[in-house]
Amino acid sequence: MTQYIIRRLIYSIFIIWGCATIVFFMLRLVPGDPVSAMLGIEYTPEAAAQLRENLGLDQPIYVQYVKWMGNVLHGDLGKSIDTRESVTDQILSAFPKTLSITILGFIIGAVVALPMGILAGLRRDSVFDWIASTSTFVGISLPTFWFGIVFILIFAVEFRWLPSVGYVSPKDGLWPWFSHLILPGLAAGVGEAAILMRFVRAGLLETMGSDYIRTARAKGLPSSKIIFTHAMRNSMIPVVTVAGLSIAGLLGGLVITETVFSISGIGRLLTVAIFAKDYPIVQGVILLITLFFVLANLAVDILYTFLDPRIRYG
Amino acid sequence: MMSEDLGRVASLSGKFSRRTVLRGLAAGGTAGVLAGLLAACGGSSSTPTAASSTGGGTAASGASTSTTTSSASTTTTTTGAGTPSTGGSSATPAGTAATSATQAPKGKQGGTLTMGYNVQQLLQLDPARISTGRVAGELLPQICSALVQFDDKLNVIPDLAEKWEISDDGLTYTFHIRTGLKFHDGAPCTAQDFVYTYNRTLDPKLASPHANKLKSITKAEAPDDQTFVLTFSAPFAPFLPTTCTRGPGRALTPVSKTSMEKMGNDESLLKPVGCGPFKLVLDSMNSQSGFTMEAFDDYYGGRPLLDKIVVKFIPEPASQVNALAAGDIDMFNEIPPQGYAQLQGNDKVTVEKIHGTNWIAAQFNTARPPFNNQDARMAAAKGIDRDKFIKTALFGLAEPSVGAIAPAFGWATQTEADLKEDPQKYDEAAAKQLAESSGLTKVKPVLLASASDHRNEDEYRNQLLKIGVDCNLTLLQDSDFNDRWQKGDYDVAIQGSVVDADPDDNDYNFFYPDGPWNTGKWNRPEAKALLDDERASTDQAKRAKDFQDLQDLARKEAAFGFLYHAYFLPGYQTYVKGLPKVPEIFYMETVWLDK
Repeated sequence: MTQYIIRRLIYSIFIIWGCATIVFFMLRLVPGDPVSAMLGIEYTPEAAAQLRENLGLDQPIYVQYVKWMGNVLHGDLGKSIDTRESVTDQILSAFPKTLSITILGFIIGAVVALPMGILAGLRRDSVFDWIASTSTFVGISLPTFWFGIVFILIFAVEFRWLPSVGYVSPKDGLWPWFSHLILPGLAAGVGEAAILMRFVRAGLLETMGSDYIRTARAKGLPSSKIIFTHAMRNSMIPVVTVAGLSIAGLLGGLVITETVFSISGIGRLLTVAIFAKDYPIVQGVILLITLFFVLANLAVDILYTFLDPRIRYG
Repeated sequence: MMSEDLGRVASLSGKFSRRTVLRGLAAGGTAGVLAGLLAACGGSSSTPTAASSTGGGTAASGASTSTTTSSASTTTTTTGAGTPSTGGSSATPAGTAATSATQAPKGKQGGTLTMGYNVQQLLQLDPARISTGRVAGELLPQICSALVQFDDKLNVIPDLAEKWEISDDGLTYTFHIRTGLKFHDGAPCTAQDFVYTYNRTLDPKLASPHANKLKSITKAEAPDDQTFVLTFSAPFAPFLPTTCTRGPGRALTPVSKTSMEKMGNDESLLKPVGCGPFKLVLDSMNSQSGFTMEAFDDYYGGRPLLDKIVVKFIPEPASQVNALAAGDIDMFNEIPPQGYAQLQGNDKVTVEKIHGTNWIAAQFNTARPPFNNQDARMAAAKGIDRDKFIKTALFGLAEPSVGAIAPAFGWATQTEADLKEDPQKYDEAAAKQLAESSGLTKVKPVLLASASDHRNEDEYRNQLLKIGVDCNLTLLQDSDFNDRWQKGDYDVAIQGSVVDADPDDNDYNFFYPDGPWNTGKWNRPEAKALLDDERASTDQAKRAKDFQDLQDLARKEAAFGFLYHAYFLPGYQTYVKGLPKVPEIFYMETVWLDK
């Protein structure tokens, strides 16, 4: 197992390097000029030429690549072309915000999805199953921003219970921090819950029809033991797969939630940088997201071995 | 040169748009230049000086009309005469100490104001490098004072310079700097700092987009700590409003040499250390979420009333409206037009509706077919029903435009009623005939648009369809848009200018034959002569005439198809008091919270 993990980590380095390299060159193939975006209508050829020189954008692409990669290997992700802020600082500032929403969204999703998915799976074709399936359908179909705006209108504008925009650091108080996360967490959690619930229900339905469950019933085991000890464990494999990937996906995929709630997280950082052609930021964030996907995949694979002892890695 | 395209502004600041983003600068103070050249302001314009009687201060500038609307009350106030000054040019021009900034502001002291601000990411806050006019007009003035500023009647009044003189030939400006000024880092602010700022803006390594505003200055000197002297190679009439005002005058807005050099060009891009009423909390700056400013105890005009201003960036229109309605923010810099009606019905919120300093039009590329044909351009101009355009694209929150002079420049602006004849007046039948005869109906002109916001272009295209012209709507990311527009790789683009400090601020760039924004290549010697003349003129009435003649020519030849002037729409909770109604500029030292 240890050898397997080490091997996977070594592979991961190549995956991350490959992604970083592809992104580096593809960004520069896209039409548009970061200097032009920066200067806007105040653009003059002289100011643009000077700015390109200042930013090193007048050098050949391969020189820029070698310099950037060299800096990355030394732990320096560079500076934003637009704001000259350190990319590392930008990521470190945005990451806790997105991670907070991601974790809260996932917890909300799991808390809703697990019991509802289990009940729906156990009471197939019942009214509850119908309600749960319809809710799932609605949760998946309606966009996150719709939920976000509805939550804001109800809980912030109408009742004024919770703040509608922004993020507060936990250093400024746990309740202010948490209160600013509730609505974005809920908005992100709805979709998460819907997806997870579908997998829990489907997984449980499949498992409950298995021979070993019938055997367990025949042996006279109590239902609770059959469900929670035997059925749940096996039906969790697809759930863990989806959960792992969606946690990683949320990292860069919360741009809508972050925009609606005006939270400057990783998703917004990436999107704004893409539109502004702020290469160093895009490259830095992609590195982070790739790292997360790779680690999430690895974690999922390792979790498999705990859920199903038959799975062994050599 | 506070101009900029509304659309691009939008793009730089978020996806909301050329309608929602109107900011800027105050207009009119044009007078400024002539500030002194005119011994007396035209009749009804207010004199900016109170204490002293040594000079006329500024020329009258634009009329500024503001309408304040809340569910509780609606009031309309018209300020400013809007009459061009006609003072004799032989008088020694001078500006003298203003009252507003030197008297302690009145109101309740204390409290924190949270200001929502429409921007995706703040790109710059160093005055010499700010490329977004509305940031210069709305955020910068809190942190950085300048030589002069605007009053709410759009006159140029003293700020850090308590008075100034302009030589008879208009080639020498002498500013008398207040004593005892301090930067936020504690360093004294003297005339030497203005010389430093002048040299800094011109430093090629800084790549300031405003360096060109200083190109006609041949010498900047500080004979003593309180005297700053500029020598010009040629008269430059709009110099004061465009280059020296608090907010728009980014090229000469002083920053602390000590702090800026300590930080270096990278860090100082977002962290200016100036001598304005509020001090930027350096560690609070986050280009994507906002920043905090604290009252500056040593501000020369007295400590501002608010203790603190927290700026939160809110890029999404629905969130902007909801945040104000929910009371999460005390103020928003500009209400999105789509949220205007909702907030009007909220008795806890006040929404201003102020004439802006902007104009928006269809810019035609006259260097290539089909719009190298004047009939084709005129067809595309006459085919637009401006009233319907404003209603559809801007929720009615704009005024029809007949030229490139914003309503805030009351001394020069024109409405349709002022014209003997508007050759671009909406006439569907005539437009259709011109479109057919010019062959415009047989081609698909490329209409450039920003992918993030193309409501203007959608409406423009829809209206042209009625006269048989089908534009090829080309949606681009903003950087690509800028590239293509600057290269002239388009047939028509909805462009214009916001946050101007003087009509010259944009007209020169758009209409001068080699103007940087004349990407449609409309090249007329008459336009060059008129612009050269207004720059050299010391007579504000003559300048107004030059600008108006220029618009006549542009209308007649359909260099642009003029569309609208959008309103400036700041909104705030009713307990927020004391905000001066300067078009597209915020001066927050007098703001207080009545709660």
